[in-house]
Amino acid sequence: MSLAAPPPPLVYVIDDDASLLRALRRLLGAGGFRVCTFSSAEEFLESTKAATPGCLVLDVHLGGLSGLDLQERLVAAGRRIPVVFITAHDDAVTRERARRAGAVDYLPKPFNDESLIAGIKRALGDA
Amino acid sequence: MVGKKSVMNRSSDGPFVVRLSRGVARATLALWPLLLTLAISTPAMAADGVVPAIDETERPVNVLLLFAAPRLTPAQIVIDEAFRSTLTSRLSAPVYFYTEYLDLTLFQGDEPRPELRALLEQKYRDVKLDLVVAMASRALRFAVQNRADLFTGAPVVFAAVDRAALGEFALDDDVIGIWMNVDWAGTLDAALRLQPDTHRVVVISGTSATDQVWQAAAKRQLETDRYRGRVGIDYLTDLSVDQVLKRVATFSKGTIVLFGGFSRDATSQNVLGTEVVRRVAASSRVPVYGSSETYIGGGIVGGHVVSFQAQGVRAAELAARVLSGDRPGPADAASNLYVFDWRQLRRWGFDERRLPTGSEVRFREPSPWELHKWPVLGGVAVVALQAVLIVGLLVNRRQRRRAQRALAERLRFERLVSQVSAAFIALPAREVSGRIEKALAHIVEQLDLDRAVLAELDDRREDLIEVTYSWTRDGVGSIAGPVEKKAFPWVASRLQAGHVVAAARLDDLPDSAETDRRSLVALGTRSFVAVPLIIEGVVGGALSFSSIRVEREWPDELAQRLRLLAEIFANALARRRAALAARESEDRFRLLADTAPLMIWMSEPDGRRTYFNRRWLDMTGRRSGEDLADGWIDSVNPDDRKAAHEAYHQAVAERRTFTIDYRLRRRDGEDRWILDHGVPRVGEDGAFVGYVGSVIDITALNTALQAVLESNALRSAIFGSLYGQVAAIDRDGVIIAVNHSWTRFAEEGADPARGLAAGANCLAVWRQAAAAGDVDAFRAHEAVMAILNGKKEDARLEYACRSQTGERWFEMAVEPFRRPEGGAVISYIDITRRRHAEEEARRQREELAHAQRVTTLGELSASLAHEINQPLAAIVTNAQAAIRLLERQGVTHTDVSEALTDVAADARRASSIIQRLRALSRKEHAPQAGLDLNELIDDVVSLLRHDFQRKQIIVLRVFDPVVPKVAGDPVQLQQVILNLLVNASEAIAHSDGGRREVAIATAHRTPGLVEIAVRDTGIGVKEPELGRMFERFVSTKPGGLGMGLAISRSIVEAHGGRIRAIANPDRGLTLHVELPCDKTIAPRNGSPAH
Repeated sequence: MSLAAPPPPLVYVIDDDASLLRALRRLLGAGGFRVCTFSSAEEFLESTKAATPGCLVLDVHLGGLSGLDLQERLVAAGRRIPVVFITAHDDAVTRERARRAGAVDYLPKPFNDESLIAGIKRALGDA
Repeated sequence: MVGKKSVMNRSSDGPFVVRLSRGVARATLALWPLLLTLAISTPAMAADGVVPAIDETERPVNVLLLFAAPRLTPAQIVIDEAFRSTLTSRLSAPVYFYTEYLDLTLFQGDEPRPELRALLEQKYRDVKLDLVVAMASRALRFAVQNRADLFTGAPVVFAAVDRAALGEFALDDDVIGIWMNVDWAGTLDAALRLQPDTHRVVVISGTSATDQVWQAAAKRQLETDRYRGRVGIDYLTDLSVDQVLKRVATFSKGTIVLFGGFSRDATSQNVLGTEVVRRVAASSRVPVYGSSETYIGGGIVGGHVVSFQAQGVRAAELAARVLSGDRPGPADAASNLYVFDWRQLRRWGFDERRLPTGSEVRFREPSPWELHKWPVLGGVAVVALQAVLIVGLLVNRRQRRRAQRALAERLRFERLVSQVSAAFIALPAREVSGRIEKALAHIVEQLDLDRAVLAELDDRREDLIEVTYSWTRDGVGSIAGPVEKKAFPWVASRLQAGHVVAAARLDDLPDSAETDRRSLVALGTRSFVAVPLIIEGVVGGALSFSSIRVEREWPDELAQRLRLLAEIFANALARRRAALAARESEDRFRLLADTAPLMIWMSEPDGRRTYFNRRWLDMTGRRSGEDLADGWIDSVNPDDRKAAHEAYHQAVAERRTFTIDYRLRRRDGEDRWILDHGVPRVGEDGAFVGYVGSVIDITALNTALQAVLESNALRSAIFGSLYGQVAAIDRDGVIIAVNHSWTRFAEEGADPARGLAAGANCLAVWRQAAAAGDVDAFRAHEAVMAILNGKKEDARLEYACRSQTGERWFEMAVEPFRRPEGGAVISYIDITRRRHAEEEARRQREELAHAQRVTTLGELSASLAHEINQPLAAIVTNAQAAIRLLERQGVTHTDVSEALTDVAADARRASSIIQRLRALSRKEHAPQAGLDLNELIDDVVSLLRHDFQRKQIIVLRVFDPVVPKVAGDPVQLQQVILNLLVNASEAIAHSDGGRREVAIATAHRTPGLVEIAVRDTGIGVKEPELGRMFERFVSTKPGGLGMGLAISRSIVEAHGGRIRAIANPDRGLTLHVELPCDKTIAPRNGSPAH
């Protein structure tokens, strides 16, 4: 679609499960994304890299600040960053909260790679 | 003197016997069997320690006499009597003499038979002995060696102990006594004085241990330079009595025999030394000498003899000092005397002047009484004849007036003597006193004297002579009462030596009699004659006549006649003394019999009873005559009469000892059960003379026995009717008793000890079975040993056994057998039903626990799903990443490899979570040993990780890294941990604000216990719910079922632990769980051992 090769879009991944974090880095890397991983919301907030525009693949249940809290915090701070929620604890309440907060997608674990990439692309498109 | 003290004796059989002085022993012999019976009576009496009542308030002195010999030998009789009479006279308190014959001479060594020693121990355990007297070295050795055990605290006095025989044996400070010196050398020296031409000495002694003491002394004393070269010394020691007799008959002139201890000969025949010496002296062709006083009179010439009399007296004197608190040292008694037999001196023609100074010559001459006995008996007739002859003489020789007068006097005196003799011959003892006085008066009148005195030596006061009879002409001062010997030293010593002393004028007395002369002058005596009074062979007094108005001659014939007169008096006095003593002894017997604590009777040989003591008469209330012959049978309860009468007469007919029991009707009509014990009496000549019986009232004993029997019956009934199987064992494991149930037990199998009969050793049976690999037998053995050793107060163990009726459970309980001898009581109870009930309860508890677990897990399902989804997500993502990587160009294998490695790890992670979940939801699970609490907790915490995270709760694990292992059901224990953690997390979830923290800790602070503490910062629980929160259906949280803690408690308690909740000081609650450590022995059979 683009003539010149634009810099690969940046995907921030936040999950407290180290194994999943490594898997996502491999998957998204293989899918042509630039990936930046964080194991907690706090780490993300402190990181300067997070200033680069991109989208966020965010685990709902994080140790410390939760995914939803982070999203609320970012919205409150005026940072509009599209979010794809992933969760191993799927329930209606969480799903509704995420939707209200304006999540681009909401994927219960385990998810399909195509769903995730589709979600990310949609998020990046929004950006 | 008599009656002032009670002198009692208990011999080895326990009788108390009146000890009589030598002179009266014969008279009382007939009574001895009776006295002996008193003791034989019954064992019960001896055990009760019945002692005769004593009137004196003073505590009696208990003296134990120990003799080594099995019976009294003549020497011991002498020492025994001397000791008793001396000690009794020295003490004011009554003396009980206990006598033991240790039979040591029958055995080698110094130890009596063990039974005798045990008997002594039992006998004297409760007797407070004040003194132990050991006669001879072996008895002393025994006393000293055993005093700590048998005669604790009693000082020991000994007599007749040869110092050399004691050897190196050490004596304690409070062991004192009189050494005995068998003076062979002194005896030989005396013999050599009499027989200077002696060239050979033959020493004869027996073979017993005592005899050997004598023999050893002989060798010690005779095999010295003093005799070497002068005389040859041979020893005849290993011969029978007959052989000795043959040998002594062959000895020739120049040989002498020294005779020593002889109580057993080479044929092991026990003999009496006094008998042997008599026969040896009779057979011997040469003089025989001896070193014991007891041999004097038996045919030996004499010697420097041991005086057992002196030994006994001296030992008693020492004993009296000891008893009064004095502690003198052992004494070398000068208890040897030179004693010779006058008849033997004369037989061998020895010169009395060659005897050592201080020698005592006995049996000096045949007494005038003996010589003149028959003439005197025919006295009156002979005197008549003499009178005719004398009258004829007077007619023919008128001119010799002096001779006439003398003859007239002699005639008067002969008549007098014959009159006196005739009067005394058949005189009853009680009339002796009056007749002596009359005779004295008669003599004074007839001989125209002024004073006649008969004085007797006082046994107790050696310094006095008691004037017992006297006659004084009117107008002359009389003499009465005691006279001091020292006032007449010369006269006394002459008399003592057996001489007649006569003085026509006091000036005739030698210068050495100056004191006597002055004393006589003081009495107004101008002329006197004194004759020794020889009573029973010894000088016992004097008969003296004096003239006060004029001096007069005492012709020799008169002196000889006076000797005869003295002999008559002495004879009468001796008879009187014997009669008195006999009466005294009979009085004593009566007193003893009447004060004895039991009834006594005597009978004729045909069984007719001739005597009953006061106690019997008091019992039956009948007059003394009524019970005599067969009259006593009327006092027996009519129902028992026939049987008692028959049993009695049958025993009498067979002349055997008997014991019969029957009811005797008491004077008040009450029947008393009595035990009648009869023993045949034997007279002096060995003939059967009837029975002597002792009777005790055993009514109280019977009642007590009845009570014991009843209580035994009751106990035995209870024991027998017990449902369980009960056996009592002694401390060695031998079964003493079993109940009925036990005997039926054998059929049940299992424990090899069960069903064993009494007498079998169950410990041995268990040991054997344990060695063969029977674990239950091993446990049973351990449990019983723990009780027998006193390590445990009770022991219980349960085990199953399979029988034809299926599996049965038994509980074995062991308790100490609380009695001095120890032991244990073992019981088995069939607990199969209880066990089944417990099984059922456990099953229900587990079902409930399972339900609760599944519910809890259900409640946690979301969190658990998260925990599973997490690795699954990673797996899927990795797998898909790998696919994409493979589809791309230029991808390294490393990338794919890493992705796949993570896949495998995550799959394992998911799998393990599922396994834990499955474990927790399973219904079947088994207890295990060696569980690590920290790991169990980690597993549970990992399941709850997400739940805590979701609730934003921090979980702190504070583990003791070396917490001891526990035994139990891991699923149930995890359920407890799960419940506590879930409760904690919910309590925090319901709280508002503040720290959100759960701390779970393990600790090992108390030996044998492991602790788990779960502390939260939740809403907490207040009293009174705090106490109730472990009850079912009590919940402190909204929507809680109230099952979790109740089930947790039941699980913890089933594991032998406990659980409690404590409110934290700041906020929240801490739940404490205590569990016992793993005891390495795993519970058996799929169930906790509780």
